[in-house]
Amino acid sequence: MTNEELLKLALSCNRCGTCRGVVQDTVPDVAFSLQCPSGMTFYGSYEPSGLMYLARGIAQNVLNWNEELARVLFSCTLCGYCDDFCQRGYRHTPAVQILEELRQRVPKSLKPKALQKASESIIIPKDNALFILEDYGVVDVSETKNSDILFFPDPTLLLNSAKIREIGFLFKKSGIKIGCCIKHPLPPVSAMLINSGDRELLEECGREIDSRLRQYGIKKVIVYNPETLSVLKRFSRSGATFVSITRFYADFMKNKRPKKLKLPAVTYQDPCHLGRYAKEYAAPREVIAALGLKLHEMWRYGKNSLCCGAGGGVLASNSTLAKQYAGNRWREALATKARIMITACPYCFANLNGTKPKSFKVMDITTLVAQAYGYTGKEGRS
Amino acid sequence: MKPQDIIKNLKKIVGAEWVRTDELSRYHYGSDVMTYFGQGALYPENHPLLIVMPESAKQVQAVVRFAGKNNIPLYAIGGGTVLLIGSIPGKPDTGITFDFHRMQKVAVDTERMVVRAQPGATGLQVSQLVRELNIGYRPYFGGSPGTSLFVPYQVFTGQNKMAGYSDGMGINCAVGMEMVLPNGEIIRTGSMVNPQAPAWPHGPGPALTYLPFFSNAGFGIVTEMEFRMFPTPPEIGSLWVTFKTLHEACEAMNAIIRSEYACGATVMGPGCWTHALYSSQHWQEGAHFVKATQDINLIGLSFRGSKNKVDYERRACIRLLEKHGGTVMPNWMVAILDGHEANAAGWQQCNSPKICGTFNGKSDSGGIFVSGGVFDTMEKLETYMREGMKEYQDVCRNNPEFLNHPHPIIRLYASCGQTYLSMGGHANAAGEVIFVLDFASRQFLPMIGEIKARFDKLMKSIGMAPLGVGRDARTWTECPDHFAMAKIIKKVLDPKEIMAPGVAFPLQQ
Repeated sequence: MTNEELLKLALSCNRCGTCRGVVQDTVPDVAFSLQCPSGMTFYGSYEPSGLMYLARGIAQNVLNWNEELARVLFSCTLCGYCDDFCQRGYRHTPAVQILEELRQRVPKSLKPKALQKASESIIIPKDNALFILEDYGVVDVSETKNSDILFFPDPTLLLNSAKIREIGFLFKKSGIKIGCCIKHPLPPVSAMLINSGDRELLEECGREIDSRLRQYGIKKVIVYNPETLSVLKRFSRSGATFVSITRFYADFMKNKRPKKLKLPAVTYQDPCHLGRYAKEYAAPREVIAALGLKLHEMWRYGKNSLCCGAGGGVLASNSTLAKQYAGNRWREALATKARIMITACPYCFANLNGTKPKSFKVMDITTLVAQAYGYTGKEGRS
Repeated sequence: MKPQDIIKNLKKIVGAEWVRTDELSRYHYGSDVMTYFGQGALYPENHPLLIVMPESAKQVQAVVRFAGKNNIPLYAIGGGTVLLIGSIPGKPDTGITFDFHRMQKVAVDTERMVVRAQPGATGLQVSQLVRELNIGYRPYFGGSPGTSLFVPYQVFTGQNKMAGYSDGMGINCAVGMEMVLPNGEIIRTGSMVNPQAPAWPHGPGPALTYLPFFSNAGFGIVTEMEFRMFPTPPEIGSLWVTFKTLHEACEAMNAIIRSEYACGATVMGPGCWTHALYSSQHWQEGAHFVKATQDINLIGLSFRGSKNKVDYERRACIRLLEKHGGTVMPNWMVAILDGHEANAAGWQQCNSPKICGTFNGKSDSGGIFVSGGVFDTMEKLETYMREGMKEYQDVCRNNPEFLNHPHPIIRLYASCGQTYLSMGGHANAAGEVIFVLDFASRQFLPMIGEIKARFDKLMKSIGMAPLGVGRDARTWTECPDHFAMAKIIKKVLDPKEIMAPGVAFPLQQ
């Protein structure tokens, strides 16, 4: 993107201040009426308009990259609310596009260390645990072409054998033939490469993914991590359909009803990359209903949901700040009658679990679904 | 005092993290949409020395006292953007800018039927809270949902055109305020003089509640304000009437005002830009509307109240407007303008923050404020619009490539808003000329510069006061007595002229 193009986009923002609030008919308290994680914490130039002015200044060459600018930029969780909000009935400042461009432009030396190493996130560990899936009848599509549905793991899953077992168990339970690239996994891309501005690497990986999906004749891809889902949905040109694993659960639960779970009331954290980016708000709620759980929504939910604070690489690069952001969400969760927070994203899970009040429990939606079908960790292996 | 000492002292007052001196913050608070459009820029980009973010009136007071002692100018910004100069310092690298985003508490007092809000709150926040209560009352904020509920000096500016001239104008909603004077004293007026005061703006003794309105922080910093609430109207209606000439439309508008029917009535010249922004629910609808009204003059007005009242007023206005040559637009033609009715209902749903709208759908067009101002007579306004249009057409004739441009989005949007009449009380009419320019068509900027120069000349010859108070002595020339009184008050309250120099009042020569 040229400076001229960036300036055009940035000038769309006239600092009207609208995106600071929540477009909902009602809010119970003004404390719940702010939305931007960094903006509501630091105010001023950390608010969405400040970031748009940062882009404007960079594009005009009146601002030069320094530590302060980088700090402002990387305090943003890229939750996308400002972008989404701005186009609801009003004109649209493409904030996400602008922020992603800025992340590409920031000099590497000014990036947080964790993001400087983001390219390592696509390195597949030799001791990854994907082979476990074979225990549950998942086939390696690179060797046997007997499924046009592919499971796409992400970097957080590769070494998480417990989670892989839960997923394998559910795949088997569904009775649907699902494949995976087990011996030669696909590059486990995620929004981490966007967060770090490694767009070229992402595109390179994307080309490999697209080529192999076509080669294996894959029509549908089930994606575990929302941050991977949103990236694949946005950038893949393979022609395959990408669905979240939560959508997969919701669909198969319609045919094979699970056992109702006896748990206290729950609330649900919409992951930004599942909801705002991939527009999947319904599936997790269908799953929660099918599990027989009583859902108490927080005030900001669905398309108005508040980011947990982990996104944009904030959890990886500044966990203290991510925890501070999570505090906003917990205040809202505590105002509900729920005692369990469900989420469908490993980053939301990690950040919320690390900051939870004593009275709350955080649960991953995959774990709950597996429990409902009787998973104990041992059964189901072939 | 050295800058580092200023910073040190302010950090002691508001806390170290709430004093911002970095380049980005200074740029952010020193520029806005009006500071960048080449020759169309309305005013220059001036960065403050630093930004402070107080969290209480006490902190504001301490900052004001410190600034007064050291002769440091003060500027301020509330919930969102401040157009018409507002928050931009009077000269480069000058002064302290208050950001009030840490002060955005809103509380609803259902016993006294008032909303109390701090300056960083937005109208949207207030509307949402009152809606939640579902008590049959609401605040009455027309205009944009996000723009400052009240910037501390320019109350409701830019939000009121469609709110109505009878009971809904922003200034009439305010019933009391807390204000830090330039000497650091905190005063409370109207409904806020004591905790149980009724929701009346006048209070005991001289009515002071409206003193800071449109003074652009020249008299002090408002740190809290109370707004009364109004019954939610059971019925809302609107009416759109076209006229062949601007003169006919203005005459008809005067008749409507005298009749005291309706609310939110505005006259628009060709290309009904303001209606499109304020009344459509989406910018695309607004863009269509603008394109569809290039050759008509229009009055838009709303009605609210009981069904009978709305029906009666609507019929009465149709009769009145038809008598002046108006033709009523059928409902299906103006269905996109339902935001106008939402505004009349007082829930603040419109597009005015998009003053530089994306009229080409690509987020890359911008409004260029060419000219605008207030007049003491309707005749002057009409002259301005008529002669201005001639000047515009003259320049266009000399630039055939402009007229033949494939994108029909470059337009002169001339509009005049009679509702300004009751906004500041200092003018009988107001007009504005705005271009919406595709950024891909920057080659036309010089041409717009030429048009702007012609309009400037026209303004001088007609005796017009530019919109956007301050910076230009002519602003006040329409109302010399008013300005004289304002200057006396200013001298008494702010002898050192630390409050928003170059914004509310011209810079000292």
